[in-house]
Amino acid sequence: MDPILELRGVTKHYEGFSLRDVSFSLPRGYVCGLIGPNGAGKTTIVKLILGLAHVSSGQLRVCGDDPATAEIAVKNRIGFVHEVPSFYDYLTVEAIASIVRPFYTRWDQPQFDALAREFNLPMRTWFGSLSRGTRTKAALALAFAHHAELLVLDEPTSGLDPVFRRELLDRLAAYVSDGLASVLFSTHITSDLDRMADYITFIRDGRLVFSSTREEVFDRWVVVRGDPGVLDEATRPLFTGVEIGAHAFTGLTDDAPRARTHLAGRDIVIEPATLDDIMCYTGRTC
Amino acid sequence: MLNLFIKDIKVGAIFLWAVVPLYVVTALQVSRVGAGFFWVNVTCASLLLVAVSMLDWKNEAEPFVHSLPVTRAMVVRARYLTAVVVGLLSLGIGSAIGSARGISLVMRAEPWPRWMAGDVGLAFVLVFAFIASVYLPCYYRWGFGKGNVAAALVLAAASIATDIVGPAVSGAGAPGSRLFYEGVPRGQVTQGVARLADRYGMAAAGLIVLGLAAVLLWVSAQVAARACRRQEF
Repeated sequence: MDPILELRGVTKHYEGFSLRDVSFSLPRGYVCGLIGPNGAGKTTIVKLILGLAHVSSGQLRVCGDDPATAEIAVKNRIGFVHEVPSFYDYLTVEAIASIVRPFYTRWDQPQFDALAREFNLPMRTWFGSLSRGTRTKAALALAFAHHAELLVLDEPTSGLDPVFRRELLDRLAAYVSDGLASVLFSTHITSDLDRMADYITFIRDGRLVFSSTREEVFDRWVVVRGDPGVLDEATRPLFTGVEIGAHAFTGLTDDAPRARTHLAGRDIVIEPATLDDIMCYTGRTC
Repeated sequence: MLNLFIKDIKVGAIFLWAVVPLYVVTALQVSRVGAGFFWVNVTCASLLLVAVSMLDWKNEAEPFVHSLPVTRAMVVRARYLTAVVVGLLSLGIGSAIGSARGISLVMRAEPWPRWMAGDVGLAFVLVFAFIASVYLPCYYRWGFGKGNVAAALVLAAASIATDIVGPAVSGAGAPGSRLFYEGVPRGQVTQGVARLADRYGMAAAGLIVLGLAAVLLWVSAQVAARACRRQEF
């Protein structure tokens, strides 16, 4: 089956920032976590997928179509939740739903009503007066209600309380379980992805660092801690990032077997890397 | 496109309850002096059009609108449809108030005001179509802030140019000249449309003006759609 989302050598130039040669794909039925520090290019990727920005070069396919030429068909299959959802602040959730509804061919009003009840959405309250978390819930209800094949979530959990955050993650896992829908989850709260991501795509400074299954990531990436004396010309190239403290160093490597072989017998500790470790230590040189 | 137009109406409707009464009161007051009534109507209609765009800008709703399953061209065409409705609404308000003023004058045995006539209504259509044709491409090219400034500059330049070049070329529209229509609001367009109606009859003038307005809006919509396609959010 074709991937639901495919980027091949996608490049986007802005003044002062470029996303360069990004390639990854997301099969149907899976959740992909898009991680990276602020300014890495995550939101740029989201904008390109949604057609809010134009690809400078490369190829982008959503459900097999190019968003630039099949704009309506592609957007009809995408559900989008922004970090700070912005609609018209002075409209009620009910009014916003009534505006959004006619645009989607697969809008499911009973589904929306059920979600609104479940999320305790105040339907007759101005959108602008809702808390950030409630805005996100409203945006999620709108995205779920049109049975999107690809849910694109840009930092959706940052305004949510832990209880709803967990519920949301469970709901997303259930959403993709039929094997037809997928979720692209851009976040820097990597603990969200520990629970549910099938794929991890890491972007840094506008470049793709890796895009792999979660298992591959955790198999390959390890953190090595030990005496700074272990670091020499032979061992240093093993690490993609190193931080040296007063009494110990922390090094990150994406080649766990090689590190184990080369550092065998040394006074070190090798631990599985978390996504936070990967984000924090990649590229660090001291 | 219709859904986007309905969106514009729903989004703007909440403000119409506040704006229209203000509009009516202003127009009512100005109708007493007559002369400036036409241009006050044009100004109010233009402000209504700018207000619709302002709602998108103020609420940062453009990414939301463009993430809906629509094309950029559909977004632009819907806004032109909204502009036409805004123009018709303004023409309706202006006509109603102008007629009320005319009736009250006739009841006092005074003549029907010349500024409340079919040719002036046609001039309104043409002037508003021109304003929308300049404003909307500027808005889609440069956004709300810079777009408004650019449109204001273009419209000011066009206004000055027609006032200078117009009489020099045609000799029309200047008070005292043979071609000046007393009572018709001053301006090259208003006087020109009055002359057109005078020469060819109201029906022909209506067809010419509506055709011209349609062409202006169509060409402008093509330019605006091209500008909108280049926009990024």
